[in-house]
Amino acid sequence: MSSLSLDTRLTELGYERRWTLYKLLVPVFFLMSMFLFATFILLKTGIGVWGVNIPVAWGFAIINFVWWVGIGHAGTFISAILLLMRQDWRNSINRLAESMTLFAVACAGLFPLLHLGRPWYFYWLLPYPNDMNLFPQYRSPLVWDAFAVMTYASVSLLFWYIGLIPDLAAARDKTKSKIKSVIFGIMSLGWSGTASEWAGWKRLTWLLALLATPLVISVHSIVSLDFAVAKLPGWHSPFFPPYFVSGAIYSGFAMVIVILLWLRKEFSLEDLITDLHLEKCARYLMISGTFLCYCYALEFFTVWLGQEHYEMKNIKHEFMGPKAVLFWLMIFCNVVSMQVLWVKKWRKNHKILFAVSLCVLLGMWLERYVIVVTTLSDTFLPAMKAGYRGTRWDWAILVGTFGVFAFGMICVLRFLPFIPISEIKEERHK
Amino acid sequence: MSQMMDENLSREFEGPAELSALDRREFLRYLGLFSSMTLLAHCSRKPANIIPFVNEQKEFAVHNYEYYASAFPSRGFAQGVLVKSYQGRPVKIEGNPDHPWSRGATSAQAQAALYELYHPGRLTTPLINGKKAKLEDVRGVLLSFRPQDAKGSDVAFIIPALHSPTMTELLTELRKKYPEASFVSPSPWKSDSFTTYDLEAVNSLLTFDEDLFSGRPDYLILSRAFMKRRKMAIDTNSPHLLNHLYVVSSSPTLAGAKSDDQLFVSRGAVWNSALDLLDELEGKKTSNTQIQKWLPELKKSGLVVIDRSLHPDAGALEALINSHLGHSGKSWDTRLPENTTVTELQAKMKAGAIHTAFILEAEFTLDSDWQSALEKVPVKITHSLFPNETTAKSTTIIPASHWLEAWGDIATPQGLITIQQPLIEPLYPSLGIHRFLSLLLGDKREEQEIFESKWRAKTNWEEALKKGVVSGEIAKSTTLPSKKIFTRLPVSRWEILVRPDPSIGFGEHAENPVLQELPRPFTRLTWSNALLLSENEADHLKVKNEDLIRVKTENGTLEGPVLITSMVSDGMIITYSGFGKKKGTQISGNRGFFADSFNGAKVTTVEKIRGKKRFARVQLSMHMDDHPPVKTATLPVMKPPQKATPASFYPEHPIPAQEQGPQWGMTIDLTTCIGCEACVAACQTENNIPFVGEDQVKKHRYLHWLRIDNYIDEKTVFFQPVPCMHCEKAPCEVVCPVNATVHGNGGLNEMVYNRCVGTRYCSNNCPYKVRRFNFRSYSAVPKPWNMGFNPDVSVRDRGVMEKCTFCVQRIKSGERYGETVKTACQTVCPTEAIVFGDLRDEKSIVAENKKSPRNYDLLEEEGTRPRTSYLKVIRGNA
Repeated sequence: MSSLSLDTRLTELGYERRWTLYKLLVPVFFLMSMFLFATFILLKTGIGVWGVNIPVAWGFAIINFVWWVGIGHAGTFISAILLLMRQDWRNSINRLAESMTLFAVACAGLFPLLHLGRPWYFYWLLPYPNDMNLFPQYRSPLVWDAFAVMTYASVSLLFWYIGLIPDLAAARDKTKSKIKSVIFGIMSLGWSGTASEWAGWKRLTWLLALLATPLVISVHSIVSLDFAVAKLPGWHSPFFPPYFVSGAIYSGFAMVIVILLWLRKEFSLEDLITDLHLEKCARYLMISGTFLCYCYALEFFTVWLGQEHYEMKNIKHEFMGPKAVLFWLMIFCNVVSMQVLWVKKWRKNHKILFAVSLCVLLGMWLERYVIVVTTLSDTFLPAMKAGYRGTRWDWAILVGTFGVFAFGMICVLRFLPFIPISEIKEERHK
Repeated sequence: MSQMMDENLSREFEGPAELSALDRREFLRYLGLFSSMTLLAHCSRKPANIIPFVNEQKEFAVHNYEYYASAFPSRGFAQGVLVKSYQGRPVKIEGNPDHPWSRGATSAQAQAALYELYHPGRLTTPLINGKKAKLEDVRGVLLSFRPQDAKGSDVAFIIPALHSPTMTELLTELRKKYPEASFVSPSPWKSDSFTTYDLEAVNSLLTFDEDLFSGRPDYLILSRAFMKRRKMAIDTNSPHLLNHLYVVSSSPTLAGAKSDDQLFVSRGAVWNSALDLLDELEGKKTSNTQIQKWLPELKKSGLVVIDRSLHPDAGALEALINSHLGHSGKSWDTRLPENTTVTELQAKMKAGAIHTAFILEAEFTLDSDWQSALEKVPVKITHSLFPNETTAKSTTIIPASHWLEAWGDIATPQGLITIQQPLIEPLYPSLGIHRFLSLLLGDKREEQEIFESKWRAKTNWEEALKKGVVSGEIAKSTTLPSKKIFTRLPVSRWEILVRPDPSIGFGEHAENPVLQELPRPFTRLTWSNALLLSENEADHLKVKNEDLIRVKTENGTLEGPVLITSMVSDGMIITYSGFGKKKGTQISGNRGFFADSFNGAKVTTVEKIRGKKRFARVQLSMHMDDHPPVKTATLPVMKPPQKATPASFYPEHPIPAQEQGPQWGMTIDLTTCIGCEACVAACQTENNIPFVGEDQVKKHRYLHWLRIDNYIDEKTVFFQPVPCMHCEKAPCEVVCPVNATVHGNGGLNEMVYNRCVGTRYCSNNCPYKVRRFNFRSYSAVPKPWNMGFNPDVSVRDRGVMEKCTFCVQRIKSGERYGETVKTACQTVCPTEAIVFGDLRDEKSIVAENKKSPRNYDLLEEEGTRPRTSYLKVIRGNA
């Protein structure tokens, strides 16, 4: 295949398969309007529409936030860390993974805002000059969180956009539509493909990759500190950062696999998203999953070793309490289901891989549920114990964000070259 | 190409080219303009400090409060109160320290009274023959009332059991005017005599089903006296001085919770155990080992109290037993000016012999007997504060004035009269009961005149109003009937006992949302009642908490949800009255089930039925594990060994200069806390804490800043009031991202509502879980409830965290006027279990308590260094 036809094919992919995408818009719009309606009710009535209470003052919003941020990890991991490690196989999937990151982080970013009792004052978490000389309280992990997530989101966006410029230029050159050529023209910032532009671009992507790499580690480390800094049994652990980062990459790769498998089938991209890609992703899934299993074991082992009263009580509550079913389901999803991937034949079976990935996505959501709800509902003083249950509005907002995420992804698939043209060409060249 | 380049270049460098066009003069002109502008911008008046309102100085004080002595009718007797008034409206109720029946404390019911005064559901317009009327018309109706029979044989007066000398006089006159009219009170608490006890003198106390620490109008002084004696033994560290409290009971009681030993038996067996005691005292051997165990201690200056509703001979038995023991209560004649009984009047009504009924106590005429009897009365003139089943039937309704709106005089059984001063003009056209009766007698005088002319003649009127108490009025004392032979009660398979609800009583406070939401001791239930069953019986019936059961009795069928507790004996079904009203306001309407008419009814069957009713309970787990939050000790108490401060990398911060002022702290004595919940109600009214409603309590979102944790270990009960601990190393402060909770100079953990964005992280990190969150707009209560809000405390909006502030408004006001600071919970506590003060002040009680060997910190191992600490529980010998 000549490079020209590759250009055309990749820029026109979204148009060719537009009906596949348009069909999806029906449920997506339904989910999005559900999200908007639930958010409207939430803002109108207050977070009392949710199931949160005292003592379980954090609920779905935090669980969903951590889950979506986690999913947002794979993108930058693939594009930045693997770029630095010169894992060139990543080239054909990095744009997709980055887009996924972007929309996952956008969905995640909604939750801390909606979570607030008074969301209209969210900016009080940011340092800005004001006549009261009031700054955020820097000892609070929530402030670190705001910085970490915003930095991550902006660097991810920048990285995604910089990477996109040459391809936008290609799209600009290929399109026959006037409007598109104007829009792509503006977006590609006058890219003309000279050697010096390529050299500068290359340097910039490497620089941004260097910048993004610590962020992949830092953002979820800091999210984990929201829990680890609090002095609650089940939260107050020094190994929470690596524990959370591994979990995040685990769920991120699971989401990448789910999307790749679907896309490959619907868009007939077997030549671009090859078995090799999926095999590599599956391996990363196994690596991060195994590390997560180690973290689980470490958590229970340290509690057992310490024999601290409240930690032991919390673990017992987790294993045998009223929400134990969710805990064991989580163990099944995150620990047991992943073990089938050790067998090469099963790993290469895409149906099994798809099922395991879905399991992992569910399991990682349950993990956050167990962490948040189990600890909070089992209080130091027996008198304050109480249960928790998400309401229909909790579910509506969670499910609604799937629509928001899907809509973003559909837009990318429809309008942007989601397989990096230049990098594919470069790889083919080699 | 080069031409294009030139064009590009000139376009590129357009700006600088123009700048260079500026000549020297123009440049200097601009320079002058800009520099003078810069200078001008800096010209302003010298900054001056203005004083923020929060640090208000004495001369700027805006809130001038006035206090008036008045009387809260507590089951017909007077509880002396001081009412705090702001701009002509009552905003808080305190105990009257000069009143012998309150001594500065009040019950929860008195604390919450403002929620009845400002209730939006009150009857607001008089109704005459179904038509809206004015108050003048109502007066005319009463003044011109003439019965068909001049002697009044077809007239009935349904009167309240209120011990007011003036009301008694008015009723006596009415009886003279209409000698054949029926006078009766439907009140569940009326009795011929009332016995008072001096518990301070008593060494050991045994009660049979009587709760001395709750419900009784004199519970404040009874609990205070008992605990005073116990504290004396503890303070002198002498075990032999400890008083003893034993309880034989069929239902859970606060006295039982504080007892050294209690026995749960069925209602009949309670009576029989009292007879066993009598037998033992008279030298006859019985098989009652429990009584035998307590006997030696009882014989040493003991006292026995028997619930009068247990048996018609209960008073006689008590008198006889106490004659053996050396102590006894003093009985007072508390008969009402009645001339018939409830059943007789109902029969008369049903026979159509009553034409006009004046219903002055509508809230106790809700059962089916009364309702069917009232059906037959053509003219019903009802005087009531709130709508209910009886007002719904009445064609003439005269709204009653709240006790804070009307004049009155209420007595204690000993005859001390308390003047009930109105604090506010009636909010709606309404009449007080005295005015109602005097109008019927043709007396047109205003209320104040009636009382002033009466009492001015007898006493120093101004002094009486100031002090709230009129001395010198002697009540009639009486003796309990004497009897020698008593019959035993049969013990049946099932017995049903309906107790007054600890919070809303017999239903007289059912319209009070604060009292509805006040957690009941032992069950921690709010907004409804339940059927209390023992664990064995629940297993037997295969029911769990919240399952419905059906109890068939001779009086009909009772259906309700089960609540399992270890605090009742097998075979007993305990439930509470005051619920199940159908035609009340939204507060009382359809809460729980109507149980009042089932008391003592013969039970035929008890069975499980389909369905569940979810409870609104504030506490679900009452079991302490091996890390008990409540600690116990025995006398003599030894100082626990000093624990070494754990090593730390970070040296302690030196106390900065501005922290040299008072350092606030609190101690809560778990020995003397009787769990009456008065402090919770006091905190709620002082700090504008809204009620949240049954549904929100079900979701664990109640807002009480102060809660009383109940822990039950079989029969042993512990109460632990938990306010904010005001930790010196507060975990909540570190995690707040916006500095909304910070440490104050006095050691207070302060909450800045305006700054709070509602992340709720502070609540998560609080080991005591004392923080409360406004999940909804709870403070937007219907008007005019907001009139009762404390003007010194801000009302919190949706999305804001709140918690106990140690009554910071009282601290500020105390600092301003140099008064001793007392928190709302401390002031109201009848047993003075809560002590607050300056820890720096060596002489303060709180500083002394902190040095006590009984003092301990809750969750000490968490290292939060709480400013609130507890004194361990000490009980007498079992």
